[in-house]
Amino acid sequence: MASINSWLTSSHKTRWILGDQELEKRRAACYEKSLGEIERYKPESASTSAADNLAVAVSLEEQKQLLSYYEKTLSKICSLFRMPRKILAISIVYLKRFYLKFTVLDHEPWRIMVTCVYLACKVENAYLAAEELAKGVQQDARVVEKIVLGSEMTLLQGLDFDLVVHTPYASLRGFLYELENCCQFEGWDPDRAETLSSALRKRANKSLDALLFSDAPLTFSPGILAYAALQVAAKKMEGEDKQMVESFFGHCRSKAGNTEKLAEFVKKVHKLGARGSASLADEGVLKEIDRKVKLCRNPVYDPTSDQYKKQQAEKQAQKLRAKANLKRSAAASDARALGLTEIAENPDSKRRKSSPTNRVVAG
Amino acid sequence: MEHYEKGPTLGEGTFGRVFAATDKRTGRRVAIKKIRMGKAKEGVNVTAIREIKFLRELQHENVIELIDVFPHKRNLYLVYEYMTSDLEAVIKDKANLRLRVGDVKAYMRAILQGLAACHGHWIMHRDVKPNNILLGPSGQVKLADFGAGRVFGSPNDKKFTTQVFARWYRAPELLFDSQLYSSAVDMWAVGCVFAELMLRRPWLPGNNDLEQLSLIFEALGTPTEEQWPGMKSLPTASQVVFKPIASPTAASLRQLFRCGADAVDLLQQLLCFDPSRRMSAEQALRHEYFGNEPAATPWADLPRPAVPFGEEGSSRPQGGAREAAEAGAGAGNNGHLLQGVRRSSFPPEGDCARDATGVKASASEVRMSLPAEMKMGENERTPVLGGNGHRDSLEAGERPQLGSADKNYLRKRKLDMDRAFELASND
Repeated sequence: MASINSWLTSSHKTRWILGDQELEKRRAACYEKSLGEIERYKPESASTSAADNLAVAVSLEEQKQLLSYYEKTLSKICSLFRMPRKILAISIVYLKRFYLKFTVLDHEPWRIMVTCVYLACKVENAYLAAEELAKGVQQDARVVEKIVLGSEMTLLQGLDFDLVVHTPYASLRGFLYELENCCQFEGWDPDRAETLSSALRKRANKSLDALLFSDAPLTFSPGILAYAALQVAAKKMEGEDKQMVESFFGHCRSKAGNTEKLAEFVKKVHKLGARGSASLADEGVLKEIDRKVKLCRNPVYDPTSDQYKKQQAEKQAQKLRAKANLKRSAAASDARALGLTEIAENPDSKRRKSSPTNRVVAG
Repeated sequence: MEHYEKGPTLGEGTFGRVFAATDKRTGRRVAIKKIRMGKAKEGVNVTAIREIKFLRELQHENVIELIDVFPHKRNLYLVYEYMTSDLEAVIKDKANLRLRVGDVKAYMRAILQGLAACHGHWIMHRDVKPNNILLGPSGQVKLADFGAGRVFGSPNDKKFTTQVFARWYRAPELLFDSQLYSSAVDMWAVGCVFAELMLRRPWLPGNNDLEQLSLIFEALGTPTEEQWPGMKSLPTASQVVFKPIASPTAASLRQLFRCGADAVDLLQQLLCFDPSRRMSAEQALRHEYFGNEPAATPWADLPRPAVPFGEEGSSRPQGGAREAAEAGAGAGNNGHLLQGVRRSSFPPEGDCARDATGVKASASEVRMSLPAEMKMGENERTPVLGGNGHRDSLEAGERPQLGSADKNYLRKRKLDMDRAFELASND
């Protein structure tokens, strides 16, 4: 009971389960924004390569291909470190959620991908030092450390600081636990029930893995995903096993409020699953996309661009201005407090510290 | 940061300063915790990550609200709802505040409701203690500081650290180094807070882990195999032999806490040795204690400490007059007063309340055999254990913090090593 309650109010359910149209809308909106910014902040000394930046910009479709590639890379990294499936699932979901807010033109996917693994490990109490991670991605430890620590805050912001991801693997475990209970209720001996459930687990895990690479984790609750995966796994069952699993599904359906909706959802999940297990684009194509990403970056987020430097300078100037204002108003309030008519030149810092309330009133 | 008007500093947390502020957009008063971006190597502080992770999930009237999180100038800022004080201040303010049975009941219910919400989300708090229970401007009671929190209950759970909770609130299974534990550890701490609310002082203030166990067993009896079947199998449980002490009778506990039979029953169930039989937060809320008269005080009428946050240093009780008047009003209503405040000096000479129970007051009288390789080394024990000597150190601000045990231990070990190095190099 309690766990259902915690799902209903979770950040995952309330903020990160989105319709497929909503997903496309968000991606398109981000893409428009990035293109707009690239156009607006075109370097004035437009050299030949930068002149027709937009012409080489990665398309939304290409972004999708590139991100699928990085999702696969993520799974390679995770299996290299023998991380639990859960961490892979969480880091992939982080990557997906992040690119609902930004595009590959804003932030290089490679950097974000590595940071996703790093953050997922941290969140799941399986801390992995950046140095260690570097070994997994075959890069210089210092480079990886710099990337990871530099992008961590960006990633956290992109995720809206929602860090808890409910994975379908836990839901699957719940289903199988219940199935074993059903079997025992029917008079099966525990060993047989366990054999059936572990056979189902193996296959269902595979289809859940495939679903991870689709939009399924963003559109459906983990429970639905696990149910659909279990159906796929049950297809190859025969004889008594098949009967048992069928009756179990009946039992599940009877508990679901709206069976038609459930069936419809499951159908959609199966479609997504097919897409998730589709193979990647050609390596050549991917390389070309990757090259394009490097060529055309949104200058707002590119630390090497003039625009970025200008923004930083502006921020700095704003800060100085705010500080100066604060000083002036503090001085004014001090003067008022002391009953002076003329403002003292530079109020020393000690005095300001001793009268913080004045500052608040004046500011 | 541009959305907030900075106010005075409220306190210094474990990883940064907390200051009051006003949201310029809404005019709402908030408290902002500034977290310095830790050492370059680890990135955003893990404690901060945990706090954010859990508080983004928990929305409950007895759990502090995390309103916003934002980075600014290489710092991370966490914006919370504004709280004025904490339960520790209430417990300590014996001069001005009296706690009636209804007040204690209200605090307990709020704490239990907050914890029930956490445990419902499969989150252990792991640092329940009076100064992590905050009081709002109109008396609301909320759990705060989830930096030590952890998700539990997964079949894949591996080892948990035992260095959680301030020592006085650490459950016996933690003191015995059990690495797979559950939300029951929070419930033990709630029991300790309950006792502290009634006594108006920490009930079991051990100076080290071993002494903590002795204090627990003195107060509640040494657990028998029947009371706690799994105890012997815990990692360090077999390394120390505790003198068998009989469990206290309900009557003696009633005398110690000067409370009703229902309160003692609740306390005993919260401080049950066997974690699997210890009461859960949900169960505790259904305990008859909460149904019995007097009813829990509405939170708006709960007593407030005279010293708000950020003014602890200059603690001239400005609001003393008002609070004294309130206390006076309470005293007139003598029917169900909790006579926690017996004396004005702290610590008292010759603790009569403890002696009255017939419980041995001296920790050193407990006979213990200490094997050489024992983890809780002898050097960790304070030399003076006789009488109530160890309580003299319990002045304000000396409460142990989370993980203080191992830090102390490490510091001592380092000193020892330094000395050894010195001796060796002088040869």
